[in-house]
Amino acid sequence: MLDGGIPRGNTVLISGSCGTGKTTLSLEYLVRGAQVHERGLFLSVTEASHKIQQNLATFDFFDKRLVDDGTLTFIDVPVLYEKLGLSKQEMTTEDIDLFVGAVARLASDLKVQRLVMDSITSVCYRIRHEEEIRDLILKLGKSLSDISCTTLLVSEIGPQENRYSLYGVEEAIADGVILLGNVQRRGDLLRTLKIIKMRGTTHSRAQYVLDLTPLGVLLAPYLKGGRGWEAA
Amino acid sequence: MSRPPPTPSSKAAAAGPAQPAEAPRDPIFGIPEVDAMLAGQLPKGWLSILTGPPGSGIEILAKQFAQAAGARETVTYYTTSERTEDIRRAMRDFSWRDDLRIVNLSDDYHDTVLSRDLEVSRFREKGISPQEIAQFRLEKLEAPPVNFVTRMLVELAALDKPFRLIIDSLDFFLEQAKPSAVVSLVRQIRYRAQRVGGFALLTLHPGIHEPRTVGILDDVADLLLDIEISKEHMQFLHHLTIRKVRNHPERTGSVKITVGEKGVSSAP
Repeated sequence: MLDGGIPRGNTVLISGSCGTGKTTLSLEYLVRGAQVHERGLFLSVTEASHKIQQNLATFDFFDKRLVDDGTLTFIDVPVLYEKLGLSKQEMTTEDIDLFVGAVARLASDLKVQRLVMDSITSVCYRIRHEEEIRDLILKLGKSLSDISCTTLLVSEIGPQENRYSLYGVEEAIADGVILLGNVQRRGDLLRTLKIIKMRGTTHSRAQYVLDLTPLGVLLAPYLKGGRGWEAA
Repeated sequence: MSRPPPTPSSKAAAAGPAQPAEAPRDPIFGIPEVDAMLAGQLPKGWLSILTGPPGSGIEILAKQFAQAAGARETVTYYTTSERTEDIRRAMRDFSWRDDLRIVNLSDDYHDTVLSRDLEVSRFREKGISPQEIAQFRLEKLEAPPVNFVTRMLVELAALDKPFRLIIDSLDFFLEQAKPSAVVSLVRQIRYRAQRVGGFALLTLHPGIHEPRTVGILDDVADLLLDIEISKEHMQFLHHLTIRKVRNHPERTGSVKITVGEKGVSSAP
């Protein structure tokens, strides 16, 4: 679908409403990278990272040794907030710079090539102005791109939203947008995946059905489910 | 209150004859002239506020108030600015009891607020490494900031016998909480003192708080004492003024005091 993958150093928005598989898709992205010795960092904003690891353990593709040997690192962003004194409701421009600096420092110290922020929407909740959100994503994207780190930013949107991010600015700045959704078909809820944009690739624009299996995320062409399975 | 200060000796003499007939009394401050001005005894449940600028000796007088407590009173000294061992050392230097219960709010403040601020400044300045962040657990972050007013109220509720309670100083509470919460705390202290028969002494620095708050606090207090410093012939003179005695305006007045080996005493 992506004609070979996400270009290295790109910042990609993974958008979708709740239960569409954003977190699982991002986690699998990290684990698959780790399996080929690309170090990964998962920054968890909303959920406790130890819970995410517990959930991850139910997937066959996950191997806890990847965490133990440091190939994969999980960090709770609230810890970062607290230790940087960003616990207030609102982040100032200085706070945003500190936050981006801290994330970039962690990514560079850990020498990660893949980073997931779940979710960027929760981080943006603390920022008042659109320009500052734009600033945050630009700076984050740039500093991670400088160390050739590919970044997935998980973006939460409402089920009926006609844009790909809550604030509208994230999607414009990101190098790519992958949209996950739920579709009702004959009474069943199907997960779908579309690539909206991906700079630097000639990507497919078809809608796929996404299936979360113990083996990981599986994709099938929409309305043709059951045949021609291919791995993500 | 513009009447001339009463002569302490004459007051003491006036209070003298009544003494033998009554049960033995615990000193109020342990300054005979001042105790005599207050007729030798504070009514049960009285709350006093002692104000004075830095260096005026209000902390020593607060400790002397703790020292003067009788055997039946449990004494608790809440400090917001001194180290516990310094208070005990000061008490020993004056040959006073050093067995009083000291609750050090400044330690709590340091542990919960200042040390955290320090750590935050370090991380903001130097950045945070993966090794450092790995030490912190998400579950441990949830500790809410200490509410010192609530903490005091819990302490108060546990006082069920006659007590002498000293808070040095109320300034800390006024810095940490809303004035209305502090006023309410002071009312609670007074109410508790009246219920179980206790005395409270709170120290306050003059001139740094809202006049409105100070006005209300003055109103709640039964006894108001000020220490003032003046300079005369290259020497500092300390005056202890009793500014308010509830229902006894005639007992107000001023005494020249000095701090010596035995603590605060009236100066010749």
